[in-house]
Amino acid sequence: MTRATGTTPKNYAILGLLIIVGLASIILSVSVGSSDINFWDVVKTIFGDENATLKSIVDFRLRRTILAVIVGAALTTAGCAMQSLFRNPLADPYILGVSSGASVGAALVILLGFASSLNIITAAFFSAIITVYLVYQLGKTSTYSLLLAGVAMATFLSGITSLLIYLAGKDMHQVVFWIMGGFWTASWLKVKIVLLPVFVGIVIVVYNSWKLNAILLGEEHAASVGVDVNRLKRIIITFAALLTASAVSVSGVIGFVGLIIPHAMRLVVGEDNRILLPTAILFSAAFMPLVDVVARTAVSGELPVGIITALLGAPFFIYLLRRGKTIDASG
Amino acid sequence: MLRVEGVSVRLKSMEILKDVTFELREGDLIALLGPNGSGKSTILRTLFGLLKPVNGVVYLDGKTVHGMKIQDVAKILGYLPQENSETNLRVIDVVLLGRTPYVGLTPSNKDLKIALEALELVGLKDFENRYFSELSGGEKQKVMLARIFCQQTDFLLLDEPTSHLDIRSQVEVMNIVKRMVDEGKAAIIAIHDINLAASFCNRILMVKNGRIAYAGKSSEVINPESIRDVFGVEVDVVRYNGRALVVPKDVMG
Repeated sequence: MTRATGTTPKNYAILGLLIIVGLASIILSVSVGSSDINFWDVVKTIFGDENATLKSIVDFRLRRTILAVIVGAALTTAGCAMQSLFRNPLADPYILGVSSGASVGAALVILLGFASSLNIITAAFFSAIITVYLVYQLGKTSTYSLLLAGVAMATFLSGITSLLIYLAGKDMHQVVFWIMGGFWTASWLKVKIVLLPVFVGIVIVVYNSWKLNAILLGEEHAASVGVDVNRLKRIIITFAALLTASAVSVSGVIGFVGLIIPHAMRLVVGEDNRILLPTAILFSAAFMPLVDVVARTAVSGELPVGIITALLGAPFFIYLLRRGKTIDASG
Repeated sequence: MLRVEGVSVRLKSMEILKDVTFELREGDLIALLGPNGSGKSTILRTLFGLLKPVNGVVYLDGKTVHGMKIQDVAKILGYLPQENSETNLRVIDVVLLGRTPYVGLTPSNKDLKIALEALELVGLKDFENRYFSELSGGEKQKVMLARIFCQQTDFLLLDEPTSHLDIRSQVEVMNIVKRMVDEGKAAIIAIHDINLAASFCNRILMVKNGRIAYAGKSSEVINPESIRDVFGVEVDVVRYNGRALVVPKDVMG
């Protein structure tokens, strides 16, 4: 059997399976909650059945689920891209300071008393983008200095966020909850806001997946096969930042998803970004709705999603690590 | 033809190449000899366009390399960097990366055919589904040569392709390069093993402090005086089947 690994039948089978599991997971997520709805009633309601009570419950849960899927896809894509670009298994969507930048923006808006949903989204998005821009300008001379600039900036901005939380007084709760991340404030407006940037970001990153493969050999090797490495870096960092900032601005800082899902799929399908990116995105579409179910139902009230992704994700990851061959993105 | 004319390269305030001039024609297999840090890698990186000269020009079939897009350079110059690659990509996907200058989104079946032929050419038939990270050093280097072969370039610029390899792999790698040259390419190789260079290469360039100190056939260039001058070590040079072989003098005991 001699084929480019991106197009083996096994990989097509995995893609197909993930699409089915993803759809099932979305419907399951809508059917489970404070009042359970039959799986088929969910399907019927989504496709136009006019039962008013059902419709409002389904509508409420569906927008959360859809937002969770979009955010998961964005973080996963950005995580894959960063791990390949930096050839570093510890790279994640937040490595260039997006989350700490967004947190400062959101905390400021909340603290100053302008905490409308749209204001928080706008402030978080733009402070995240500005942060990545600064990190890039500070560290663009090499991969190392870029990573170090990201770490330094994140540390500095976390300090500012902590200071803001300390000063926040009665608003402290809101800031902390926002940072922990979740979908309880999901709305169709948020879905509409992030849909386009996330779609564009994913398309651009996937379009560059072959060049990202070249980077896996090393930057000098990528250049030797004709890849303009600096241009590729700029493109990937720009669109990974767009993806991450979009996700964070509507859902807060949801950790581990962008780190662990790419690794989990890498253990299954290998390093080839042409197959890794689509399978990881689909896997996140199956994983995130389930996480949101736990967030809604585990305790009375609501558990921040960031806590669950950490508690579920890390042990799952360790399990994969112990039975898998290797997770090293760079060697 | 690849022509280097009076090229000087500066890194910060240090001049790391000084007035380097030579030509690489079809059928040439040139060895770049010189101590660590003398500028061998710098010469290759400059030829490929990764470093810009402050003076002088690199001409590639009449055009200047530094005015071309890197994608187009990679169709004419097959550059193998010294940097070690560690990846868990499969062998076939590594070889296929050589098709990058020609592919858009992803390689075609034609590219796949070229890649499989290239693997066969370097003696690694049936290796396509192995993981690159599981190969031996010699096998990895041969995969890299197959990758360059896929680029279908006229020239090969190889930065220490035989370092860290056992003698059998060294000879195999050099034979592959020699065969590519015999079939109409030209190659320039940065190399540490003077005897290996003298055995396979038809010309030698000895680099000292960023300058080409000696240039010519191995029998003309390799002698105790030039080795002392460039490497700072005392050697005897003996003749064997018309080749110059270097034997170190200062052996204790």
